[in-house]
Formats: sequence, C-alpha cells, structure tokens
Amino acid sequence: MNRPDDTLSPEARRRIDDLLADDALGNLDSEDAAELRNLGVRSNPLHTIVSSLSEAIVPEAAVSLSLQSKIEADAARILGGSEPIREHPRKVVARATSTRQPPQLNFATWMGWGAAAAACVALGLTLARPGPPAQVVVKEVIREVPAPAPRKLPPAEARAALLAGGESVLQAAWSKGNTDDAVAGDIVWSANRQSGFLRLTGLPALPEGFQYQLWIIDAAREGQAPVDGGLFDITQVADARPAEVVIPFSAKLHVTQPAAFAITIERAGGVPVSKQEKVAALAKPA
Amino acid sequence: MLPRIAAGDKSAVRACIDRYGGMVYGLARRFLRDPSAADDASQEIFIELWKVAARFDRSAAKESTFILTIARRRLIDRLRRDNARVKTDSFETVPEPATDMPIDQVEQRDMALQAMSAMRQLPPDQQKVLMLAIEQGLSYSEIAERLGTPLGTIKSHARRGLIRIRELLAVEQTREVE
Repeated sequence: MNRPDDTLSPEARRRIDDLLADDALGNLDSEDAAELRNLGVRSNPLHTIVSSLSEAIVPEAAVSLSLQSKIEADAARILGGSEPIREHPRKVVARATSTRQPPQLNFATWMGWGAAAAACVALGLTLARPGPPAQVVVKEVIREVPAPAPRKLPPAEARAALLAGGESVLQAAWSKGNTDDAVAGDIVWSANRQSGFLRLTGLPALPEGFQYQLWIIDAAREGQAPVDGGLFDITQVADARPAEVVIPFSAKLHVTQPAAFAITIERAGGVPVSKQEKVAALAKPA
Repeated sequence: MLPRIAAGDKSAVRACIDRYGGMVYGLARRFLRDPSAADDASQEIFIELWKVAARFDRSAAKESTFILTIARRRLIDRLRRDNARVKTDSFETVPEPATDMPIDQVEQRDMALQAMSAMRQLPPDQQKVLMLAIEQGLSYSEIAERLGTPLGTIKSHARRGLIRIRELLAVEQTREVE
C-alpha cells in the first residue's frame, strides 16, 4: 500500500508525506519508523524519486578488478558454486559526471574566456605536448561493451546518431585554454535534450586528486552562475597513440542560450566556485 | 537480472555488476570519499543484494530503484555509524517503491532526467537541501550546520521539495498519458 487512505485527514496525509520524505532521504529515526508502520504504510514511493535523482546527480565510478573479484566471490559463496564468474577485463567508455552545487562564476568573466577561445581559434594557436604520444582512456564510469541495456548506445555511436537524427544541434570546436594542452575535437549540444557530447583529443591525464569539469555559459543567465556540465577523468597509457574520447554530458540546470563551453581543471569532486586558474579547453558556438 | 541471480544464473551476476557496479561504487565514493571504505561498502551492498535478490518484485519496482535504495540505506548507515551520529531507521526491510508510477513505461535514464527536470523547478533553497541530502547523504542536522540554517527550515525544504517533485512528475505523467 503506497497511498494514504482516502479517509485520512489532510494533517495525517501531510504527516505521512513528511515521514516518507524523511525515510527516502535517510532521516527516519526509530520512533518515526514505528509511527509509519502504525499508520499502515508499507512502502515508500519516494524511493523511486530519490533513486532517479541519485542516478542523475551522482557520477558512476569505475569498479576495480579486485573489487569485482570480491563481489563475484561473495556471489558465488552466497548463491552457490565456487567458480570465478568474471574471466575478462572490461573495456571502458566515457561518461560525464555531475557536481553537487551550481557553480557561481561571473558571467562576464566567462564571456571573456569565450572571447579568448575565439581568438585562439582565429590565430590557430596550438601547442604540442612534449613526450611520447599517449592513448587516452576515460577512467571514471565504466560500462562493458556491449552494454547490457541494448537501447543505450556507446557514446560515440550515440553522438553520431544525434548528429544524424535531423534534430537541431549546436556544434563548436574546442580550442586551447590557458594550459599547454593541444586539445582538439568538438562539442555537440542539443537544446531539446539539454545534453550533448564532448569529443576530445589531446587532454592529458590529471594528477591524483584532480578532475576535469565542464561548464556551460548561458547568455540567458547573465549575471548568474554558469551551468555545471559535469566531471570527467582521463587516464593515459604511455607509448600509445593518441586516442579520441567521446563523453556524454547533461546540463544540471536548464540552459537557454549557450554562449560558450569551458573545461576547467578542478579538485576531485568538482567545485561550486571555480577560480578559473586552469582552463583546459574552450568552445564558442559561431 | 535479480530474479535470474536468485535462480543461480552466474551470467546474471556478471551482468548485474556491469550494469549497476559503477552506479553503486560511484555513490559509495561520493558518500564515503575514502576509496578503501567505498570498496568495503560496495562489497557489503552487493552481499546484501545477493541475499535479497529473490525478494525483488519486478511488478512493483524498477530494478535500479531496488538496488539504489539498498545502496543508499547501507551507505547512510555506514556514514553515520562511522561518524557516531544518530542512527536512522527504516520502516521497511526491503524497499518497495511505488506501484502507482509508470516505471515500466519509461526508460531508467528518462526517469532520472524527468526527476532532475522537476527538481530544477523547485526554489533554490529546496534544490540545495535535496542536493546535499541525495548526493552526499548528509542528514538534516548536517545540512543545517553546513548552511547555517535552522533545522526546522531544512526539514521543511527537504520534505516540501521532495513532495513537490512527486507532484510535478505526476503532472508530467498525466500529460504523457493524454
């Protein structure tokens, strides 16, 4: 039974709603739990909402092979049998992740960075990174290919499908920011979906404790914070050829008029307020 | 996957880890920060999942909701136990999410986007409180302390916000049906 009985008073319904919200958010104490049971409520529909929000907000993270092995060993022990379940490593694909609070960067400052990006494009400025070429692999969030959910395309295919689908999308090339990274690729943005894809080459792996963070500068939010586009990591395998990564992302707030996109380097977990000290890449729609 | 796991299908175990492992581990990393603690917690979550897999009712809930609810409960318990905070309780042993939502009709991601879209329509204060509670597993008291806001206000923002999202989703679903 998920709904309060129709005979309940508005106050009782409100009390049940309060307790269900507390439960879904992990704030129910023993007395409250007993109260809910006494009210005859046996399930909580708000779990569905919190789980959905959690899925949208909290970034997935790569499960190490050692942890996979432990989990599988537990499964074998609990469910019966002792044979190892996993026999092969996973391939990895990229996915953007979210941060916890809306950023609070000054719009005009970001528009300045957008202008800088345009200038960089105009001048054709690129700086080659020293050292051996590297294979670029996104390490945050993994999903085996082929994915278990058949309707979910790998990012590169999903990007291609978006471009080929006839939907109106915005596309802009990446240019370098204020770091030495010779970034290339583009960003594809669907206003309808409020999401898109980053296609990147040239971004290096970051030291432990740092992540890339995407920002969407919305001209309709002048004077307000840019919109958070999520976090992502990149790892490098030395002595390998450069590779391209495609990373899906979605805006955490509604974007009306995207004027520029920026990728900054931030501490792991992202920041609510970027100091713009390291801007790895910029893209400004024509 | 869970019914297959309960029936002893090893390939379903692998598929389940592939499908939900990153989600559960990402939540653990975000809640606990410490990688080794996140590893331990994720292992505990999956142990519980293997034990209760047979109790999953696909007609009553989405699999992802079932799994994420277990994960969130475990992590919140661990977070507050580790920090010697007030222990929370739950009025049900196994989550049994809404049967009145058309969860079978929408893809998991669509539901997540719809929920986010609804949350964006909330007043900023409500959004902020829900973000802290959902993303980091903070208790009302911790959120009140962090934001410097009275506890009662935080409770009100969280409760009203979540109920408002439910109302907005219901309106959206009604529109889809029409």
